[in-house]
Parts: sequence; structure tokens; C-alpha cells
Amino acid sequence: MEPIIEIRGLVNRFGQQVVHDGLDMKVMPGQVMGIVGGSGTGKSVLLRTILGLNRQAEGQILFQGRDVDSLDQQEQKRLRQHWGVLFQNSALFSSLSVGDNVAFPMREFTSLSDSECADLVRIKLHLVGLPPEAASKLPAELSGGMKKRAALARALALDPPIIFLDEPTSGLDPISADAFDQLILYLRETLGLTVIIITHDLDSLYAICDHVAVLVDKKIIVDTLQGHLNNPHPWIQEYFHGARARAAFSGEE
Amino acid sequence: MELLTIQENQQGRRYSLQGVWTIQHADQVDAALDLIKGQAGEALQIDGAAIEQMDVTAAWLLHRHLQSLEETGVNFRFVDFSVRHFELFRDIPETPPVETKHSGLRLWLADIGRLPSGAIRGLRNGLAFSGHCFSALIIGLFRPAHMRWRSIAHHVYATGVQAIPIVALIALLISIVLAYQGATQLRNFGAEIFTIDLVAISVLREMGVLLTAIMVAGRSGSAFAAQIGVMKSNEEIDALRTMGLDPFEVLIVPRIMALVIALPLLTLLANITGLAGAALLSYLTLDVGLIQFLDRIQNVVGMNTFWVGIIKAPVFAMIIAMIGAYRGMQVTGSAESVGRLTTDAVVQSIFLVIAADAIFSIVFAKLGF
Repeated sequence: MEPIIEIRGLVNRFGQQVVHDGLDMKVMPGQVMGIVGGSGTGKSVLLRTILGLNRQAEGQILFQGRDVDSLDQQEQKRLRQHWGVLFQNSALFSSLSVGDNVAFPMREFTSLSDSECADLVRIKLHLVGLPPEAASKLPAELSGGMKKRAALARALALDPPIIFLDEPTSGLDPISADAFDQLILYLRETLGLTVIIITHDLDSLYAICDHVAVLVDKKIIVDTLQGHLNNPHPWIQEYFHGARARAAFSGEE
Repeated sequence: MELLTIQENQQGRRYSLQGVWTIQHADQVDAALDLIKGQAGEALQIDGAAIEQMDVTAAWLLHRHLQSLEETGVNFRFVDFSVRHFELFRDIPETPPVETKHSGLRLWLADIGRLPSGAIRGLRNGLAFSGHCFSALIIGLFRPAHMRWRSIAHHVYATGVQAIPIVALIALLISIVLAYQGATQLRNFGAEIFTIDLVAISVLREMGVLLTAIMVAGRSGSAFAAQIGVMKSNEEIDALRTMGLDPFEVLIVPRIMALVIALPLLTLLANITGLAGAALLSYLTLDVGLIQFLDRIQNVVGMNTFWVGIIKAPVFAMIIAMIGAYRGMQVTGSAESVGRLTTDAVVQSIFLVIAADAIFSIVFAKLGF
């Protein structure tokens, strides 16, 4: 099977500082790939590079086997319309209501009528577990957890084959975080989504990711959880065998 | 590619869905669904064996279409249908009905009622805010050691020193405009020499201070509102409060003080460049040399003309700084409110500066200055 996203020899530099020095990674369709790494190891930079918000110094990013940079501007735009992204701070448009936020990509990029959009907004909000009253609220009136859900509904507006989540459970209480993990699993199951998720939440890492990419020493190491547990690298050992990790892992057993 | 083929067999009509059913082809999906129809009592078969891809949107469009047919009594049987999305559409709650709108007249009356009550509330809030400002200012003045001189110096630099080029340029240009227009009109009476009186008095009394204040309101009033507004929405103001610091003392008093220092100095600069512009134009169009120009100024312009202008500057500075800070403190939550309140700050401070100028004019005229 062809990988949905493939990264080849990615190098990122800011001035003299090298952040990524030759990353290789493959994500297969239907996988949930977790990206972890210490602060400042360039998790967000990697995500921004895949999304085209940051131009890499060297290397290629392939989407369904095609080099994204070799496509012309129009094609790149069309491609990225169909990627769902949940930003760390939700990035809901503050002047639009939640419903309009979710409907925005539908109105921009599809030929759906207003009533169809309204019905689909209802479905998407229900899908992410928001009550229908939330549609008329402004983002500033929502709690942190509800904002994340609303942002996820917007990311799912165009039924993307792949979604990118940047620390989706940070700032949520454990129950909401758990529910969010279940939601992601459910969406993966029913919609066949591919999920790339940056997270520091070890519980959700254990709960939903089948592969984990660890950013360490400016490189990336992709493996299953079990593989990482047996990796002798000191940082990986500490990450996956630390006190917090043991607590999270024993809960899963 | 066709999304749908229709066959008749012994069990009835069979609709075979095929190909890619996604949101990108929503209009084709709609067109294909229009082909699915039947009479009451008829049994239709929906065959999903050849579907390559069906996303939630397309599944929902299909679901909605079949439901509306079902209501007219048509029955369905799914054959080889592996798309699982239909379970998503179970128990989706209806959107709650929008509150019933009142009639136009009632809304209109409510709007009218809201105007004075809003004005009274605004006035009360404004008074409370300025009272808080003044008390913080006076406390600060009595305890100069506690005054944040470093912050004041920073704001004097940002609002005063950095505004020097634009303020000087505007004063120069406006005095050239006044001198040119004055000279053309007064030439008809053979009174060209009075052009100097005209320019000197209008720049010193009104134009210098008013244009400088408007410029500063646009530059610094907006900056104050935006800075304080962003701090407010970032909860930085709340952070200050929990540290036991008064945001009025830390943020607002230094800005007011800085503008009260900077605006008179900028006005002085505007007066000097304005007179320089007048001198230049007198030399070019009236053939009046510098010595003669200065002599004329000394004869016709008293010291009180200068003071009438400059005395207004600190008052205008208070107005601009306080409105900027007041609007900034009103920010709640979103980025949109920062933009709206910044606009409000500039519009209102310019309006109030001009209104205050009118009051000054009347008072000075009555006092005979």
C-alpha cells in the first residue's frame, strides 16, 4: 500500500540553528501516528512544514506519492483544502459563530446549498459531541474543551482523508481528554481517517496511537510503542519508562 | 463518470451506486440522487457493491433523500452496502427554535429606550474610570519615588520623540497653505503684510496645537487602546491585579504622564516649524526678509497668543490618553473587540479634542485673551 504522507530527508534550519537534520517518515492510510519530543525539538515546525506554512531547507514531502512542492500553486491549494487541521489554540475565527466557523469551508469550496450546509453543520457538531445550541455561540463564549471540539468539527467540515492535531488534549480535564481520545478512535474507525497527532499526553498516546514518531537528536525515530519501549536511547528510555509513563501504561494493561 | 446505474429485475428496481461519492462532487451527487424515485408501496434496492469511496457528506445526502422518499411510502432494501456512516445520523438533535422575534414597532421602541440608558451607563462608567485615573495620578504625584519614571520615559519616547518628523512636516505644510491663501486674498486690499499676522496668530493660537493633538490621537491614542486591549484579553491585567498591583498605576498613569509631557513639547515644535514655514513663504511671495518678518511678529503677536495655544496641550493630552486607556480596558475576549474599541478610541478622542478646543475658544474670548 502507498503511504498517504511520506517525508524524505527533511532538513529545517533557522539561521545557524539546525532543527531537523534529515527526517524520514511514512504514514500509511488509517494509521494514527503520534509525534512526541522534548520542548524545542521542532514538533510544531515539522507539522507546519508538512502543512506548507514553513518552507523546508531541504527534503521532500509526498502526499499520496506526489511531491507537494512539485505541484503548481493551484494544485497545492486544492490539496490542502482537503487536509483537516486542529491548531493548538483552536484558531476558530473569532468574529464568526461556531456554526459559521464549521460552515465556512463548505461555503467556500463546495456547491452545497445553505440548508444542506446547516444540516451538515448539525451533523458535524453532533459528531464531535457538541450540543446544537453551540452553533449560535461565538468562540469567545466557549470553554477550552468546547473550543477544541468546535475546531475539530471545522477540521472535519470537508470530510478530509487526513487530519493533523496539535496537542488536542492539552488543557482539557482528564474526562474530556479521555472522551476526546475516544472520539478520535471512533472517527478513525467510522471514517477511515488518517491521524497525525502531536501530543504530550501519555494516556492518549497509549490509548490511540498505533505508531509513534520520536523527535530526538534532530532525527526522527518511528516505531510501534512496543518497539520504543525496547529502544536503548536514553531520552526514549526516560520518556517511555518515566514515572508518568509507567502510570499511564499500567492503566492500559 | 456516472455515479448511478438503474436496472429492472424480478424483485423490482435496483439502483447500483458506483464510483466516488464525495463532497467535492456534491452537485453530481445531488443530480444522481434525483434519479432515485418511486411510487408508494414500491420496493427499491440500493446496491452499494461498486462504491469506491463515500464520505459523510455524500452519505448524508443519500440518507436524507431516502428518508424523504420513505415518508411517501416507498420501501428500500440495501444490498452489499458496507458504508457505515448512516449510524452517525442517528439521534441528531434538532436545532432549538430561534427565539420568537418581536414586531418591528416593539424592537424600534426598545432601541429608542436603549439609547438613553446606554448613554447614562456609558457616562457613569466614564466618570468612574476618570475618577480612578485622577486618584491614581494624584497619589502618584504625591509619591514621586513610586512613580514609574522608566515607563514614562519609554512612552515619552514612543509618543513624542518618534512623532517629531511627522508633526514638524504637518505644521510646516499647513502654515504654507495658510500663508499662500492669505496672501492671495489680502493682496486685493493691498494688505499683504497682514498675511504674517494671519499665519502667526492662527498657528500659535489654534492650528499648531490642534493638528498636533489630532496627529497624536491617531498615533498614540490608538496604540494605547490596542496595547491595553491586548493585555486585557491576554489576562495580563488580571495577572497584575493578583500580584496586588493596580493596573491604573502601572499602565495608565505612566501613559497619561508621558503624553502630558510630550504633547506640549510637540506643540512647541509645531509652532516653531509653522512660523518657519510662514517666514519662508513671506520671503518667497511677499518679498519680506527674515529680520523684517521677526520684527513684524514681535510687534503684532503678544506672549499671550503663544500661551493661549500651549495651555491647551496638556488638557488635550489628558483627553487622548484617558480615552485610549478607557477603551483598551473595555476589551473583552475576541480580537474583533480590540479593533472596534481602537477605532472608537481614535474617533472619540479626536471629537473630544475639537469639542474642548471650541470651549476653550469661547472661554478665552469671554476673558478677553
